[in-house]
Amino acid sequence: MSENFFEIFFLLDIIAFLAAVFMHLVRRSRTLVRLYALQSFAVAGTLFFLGFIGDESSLMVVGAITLLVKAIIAPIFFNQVIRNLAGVSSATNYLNTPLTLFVLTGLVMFSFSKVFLPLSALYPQAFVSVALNIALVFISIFLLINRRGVFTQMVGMLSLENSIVLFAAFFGLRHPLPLEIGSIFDIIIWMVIASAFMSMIYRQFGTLSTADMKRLTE
Amino acid sequence: MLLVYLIATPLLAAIFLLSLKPSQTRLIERTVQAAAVIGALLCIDLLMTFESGMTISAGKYLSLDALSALLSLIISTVGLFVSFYAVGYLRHEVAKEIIGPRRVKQFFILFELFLFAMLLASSAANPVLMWIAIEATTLSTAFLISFYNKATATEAAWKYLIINSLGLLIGFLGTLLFLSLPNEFVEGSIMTWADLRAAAPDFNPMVAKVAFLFVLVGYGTKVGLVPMHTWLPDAHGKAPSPISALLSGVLLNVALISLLRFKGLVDLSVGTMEFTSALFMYFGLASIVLASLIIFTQRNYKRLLAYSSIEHMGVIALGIGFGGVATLAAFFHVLYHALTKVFLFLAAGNILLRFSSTKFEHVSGVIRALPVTGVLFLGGFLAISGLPPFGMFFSKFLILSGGVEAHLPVMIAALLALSLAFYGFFRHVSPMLFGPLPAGIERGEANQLTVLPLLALAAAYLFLSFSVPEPIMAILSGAADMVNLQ
Repeated sequence: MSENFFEIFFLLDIIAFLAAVFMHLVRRSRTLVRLYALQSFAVAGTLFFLGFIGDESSLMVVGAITLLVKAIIAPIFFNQVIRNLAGVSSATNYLNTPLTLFVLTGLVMFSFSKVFLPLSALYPQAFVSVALNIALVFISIFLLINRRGVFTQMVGMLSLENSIVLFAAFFGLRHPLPLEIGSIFDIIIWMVIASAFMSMIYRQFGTLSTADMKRLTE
Repeated sequence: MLLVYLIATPLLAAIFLLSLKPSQTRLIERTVQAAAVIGALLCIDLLMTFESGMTISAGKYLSLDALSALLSLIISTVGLFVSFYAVGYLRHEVAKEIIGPRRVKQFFILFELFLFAMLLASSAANPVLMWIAIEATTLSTAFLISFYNKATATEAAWKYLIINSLGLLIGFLGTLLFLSLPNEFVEGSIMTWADLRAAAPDFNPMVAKVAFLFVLVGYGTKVGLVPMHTWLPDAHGKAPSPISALLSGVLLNVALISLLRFKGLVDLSVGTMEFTSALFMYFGLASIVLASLIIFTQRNYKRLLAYSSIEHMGVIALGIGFGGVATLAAFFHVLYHALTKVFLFLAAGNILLRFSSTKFEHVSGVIRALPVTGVLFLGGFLAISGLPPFGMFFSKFLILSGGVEAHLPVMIAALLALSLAFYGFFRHVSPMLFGPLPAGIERGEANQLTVLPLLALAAAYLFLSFSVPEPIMAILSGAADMVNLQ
């Protein structure tokens, strides 16, 4: 991979990473959806561009499907769901903003620590990118844990999925097209099911805050 | 082609059910039962001639080795009994106007898709296809867990969906790391388990270890190993009983065996089983200890059975960790636990139908109210506790014996925890079965279909406790050979 191409991929990686970081800081659901769309755009761009320079039409197809599904259709779908559940805003964090930023910094430092040094064997010339991808995974998982909202948990899960796709793309992992499409299909079904659950939760609990879902412990 | 037919049968049944009207209840029931019988017959035909070390391939994407043969056997056998039971169970719920015909149709479509996803996961030749199928088991069962549309069931289903999906994504990351390890990776080609095993000795051992940690956390979540188990008691406790039975008796094994496939790769890469054995041993012990403590203080019999599943997954993990003959015993335990736990959950379903509560404080005198179910539940309790002469006594005994020499403290801790679990189970079950019958509770079983599958399961378990047919023995020993480093 030439130096110029590498820089473009690194830039897209950083966009996805920053989108995940900002997901922790925003409060409005619509902003969260926009950040997810931006992150998905970076993932789709990476896949498409990798396919283009490697002359792999199947990867370009996967990139195009990713763009269509995750960066265009999913955000429209999520906005529709938000509109139907009128007045629902993204929930608050368990930790306040300074503490959240502190934990995020810790996660990034952990990702760059010696613990993951063995993984640099996969891509010796770019440990920074390996560590950045690992950090993106952890930051997405932390989003799932730290936010009280059902909708944020859903976006956190999809952000995690994006980070894993980026990880695989970066390391040149390619699967046959049916498997790639199969995994995208799984994610689409997941989005639909999770959205249906969101409506059910709102109907039964009158809120989308996980802090109010305590019936199992009663 | 038999393998393809076996996997396709529940999928075709689901598609056919989709075309039926909810009012065609009898045809829906017949379809489910026919699919279950066909599946079981195909499985018997497929496995009748199975020999240890054998692999049956069907195209690039499907193959059946000893591990998948064991799973296919469990899914088809248990699927047969649960399908018949579910028909009787839902008939009773319709009669009590808890659900309507539309919900019955939805239930069976998702039920068949669940069976299909499990069969596909067990026979997937490629780790990514296996991951897709296991994720599909989560998706197909989420609505089954929230089937009764109650707030508690929805909460349990959401927890199940989020925690399992998170776990599986972490597992997927580990899977991708494994797939990045072979030196000769042909882009776009399908990398089978056999290819990975052949290439494993040349893997970077450190990367393989890190990858396995991701996979262990990921698939371990689906197995219900402590501390990733938090979703399990809620989901298994809130789902309709036939689904609880499949989740506990079958799905946990599908995830466990998926995990074992990766264990084999790391062991081959590192050249020793020490790393993975230690992990299995300690996760197994933690699961046994925590589950035993909670069983002791449990107030809900379906949740008690769910914690018992965590305990038994711990026992199996311990057997894998001890290695040697304990590994073979662990596979026997997989088979026995699947039959017994399904049996117990179905019996619990009958108790729920009669008493309309899953809390011990509301359930008493089961033997008088439901004589057949009561006796069977008692038998199931004795079997799952590992008392002689049941098969689980031998499998537990061999597993614990496997740790006597090299891991005595772990073995003693496990033995103490298992004793506590037995006592905890006993103190709840005794008044539930033999206590006074509350006023207003009718006597008698719901219908024949809720009893006959239990009797058949009990007969199958008793038979396998004393005699293991040659093909099943070949499957179990073949599975142990695949997990133990040769």
